[in-house]
Amino acid sequence: MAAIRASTGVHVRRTRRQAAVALLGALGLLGQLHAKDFVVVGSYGNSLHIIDPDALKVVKSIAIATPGNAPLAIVPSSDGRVVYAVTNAWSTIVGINVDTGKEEFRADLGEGSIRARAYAGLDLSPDGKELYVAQMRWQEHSDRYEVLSPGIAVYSTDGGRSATPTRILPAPRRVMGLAVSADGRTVYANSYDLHVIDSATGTVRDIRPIVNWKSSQYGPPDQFNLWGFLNVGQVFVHPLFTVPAGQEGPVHLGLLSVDLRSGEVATDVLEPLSTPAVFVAAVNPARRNEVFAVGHYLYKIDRTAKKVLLRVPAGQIFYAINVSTDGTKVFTGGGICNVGIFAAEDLTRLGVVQLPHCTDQGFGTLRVINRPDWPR
Amino acid sequence: MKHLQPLNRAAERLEAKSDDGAQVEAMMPFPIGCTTALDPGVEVDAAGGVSTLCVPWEADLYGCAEPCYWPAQIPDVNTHPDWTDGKRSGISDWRELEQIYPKE
Repeated sequence: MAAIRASTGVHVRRTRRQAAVALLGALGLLGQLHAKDFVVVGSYGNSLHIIDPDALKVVKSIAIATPGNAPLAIVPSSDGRVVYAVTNAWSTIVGINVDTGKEEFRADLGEGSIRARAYAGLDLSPDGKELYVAQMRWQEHSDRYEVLSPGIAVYSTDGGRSATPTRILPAPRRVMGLAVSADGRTVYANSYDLHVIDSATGTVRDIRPIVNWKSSQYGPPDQFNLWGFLNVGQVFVHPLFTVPAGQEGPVHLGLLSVDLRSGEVATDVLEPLSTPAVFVAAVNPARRNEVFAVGHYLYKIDRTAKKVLLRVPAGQIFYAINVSTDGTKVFTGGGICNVGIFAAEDLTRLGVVQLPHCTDQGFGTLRVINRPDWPR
Repeated sequence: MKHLQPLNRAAERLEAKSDDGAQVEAMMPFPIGCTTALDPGVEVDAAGGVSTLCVPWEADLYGCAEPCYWPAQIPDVNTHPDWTDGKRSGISDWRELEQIYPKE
């Protein structure tokens, strides 16, 4: 009797499960059960790679048809279906559909005799409708080059494969990082100082000093400003380096952080740097006071307490970092062909994924997408 | 900067002040431009050793070719876009990279 009951119970449970799957599928909700994080990186061969950090493997590689060495800055759409990338010797922005591998957006920078190049400053508006691109601009005359003022070109993401800017906002020279506020009204442009710019009009509302900070304790900081900002958890952070005022050392590690919701900007000095420099940082979207930074070493930092909590050897040098949407994993990339996965809690290395043919990532960024279905 | 002395004509021009007050405009992300990135760190680090060099060293090979970080040692891929063609892995392919010479 027990066996029959047990058998019946199993049969009933399976039937109920099948019914639930059918109902959810009919409601189009079945995919929500399988929503998970994927890591997106670029590599030489001008390719994008989608990595499953749980299965520790590359699930899809997409060769970008537009020529280029390796994508530089990349930024995904919020639904994780389109990845925008700087390519073609910094002169083109493409939007690649990760499901089809096709280019569905393209903006060739510059127009007529005006040339332009983008590098690391790339971000999407929160509603995904606009793409902001920091550009260096010049004009080619018959006998000379004329340097023009830089700009932040704004594109409509439904501009197709011949997109042109809807507007170009004035920008300071040497903008590397670019991030759009949570309400879409402000663009933060990181140059020697942080420019707070009205996203509609280009009016500079404020300039928050970084290199020009006034400090009696520390000298002017260096951001080693080679990488764009990562808008993770609606906070972007970047390492700073400084020395005590009037001295040549020891180098201190600091942190620039910008809360894209509140607009609060902080520049904090943490402690003397005891390891080689860290290059990039990202906030934990699940716990916005936690910051992870990487170079040769992986750091875990409490930015509210202004304290380094942990530092571990990263195993190699990394130039890119990001955090899973649930805040439990830290992903590192850039440089050669490895993507590292670490536990956010104690920085234990969980695994390393090697890109196909060990192709280099170079100075590219690393992004996380959360999708309800597997890439095809 | 006070400890640096120009050794070639380009450096002398960079250091010299313009008589007509014209300003030098920089196009590159770096403060003064590609050819003035003087940060040590390819062969030896700032302390004269190797402990803080990129690990593996090949990580800096293509990584620094892109932003023109060490133009004397590593060709930048905007000026030499074909330098890495067919050689996508620094660790595996560095032996096949060719040296760049000035055009006659």
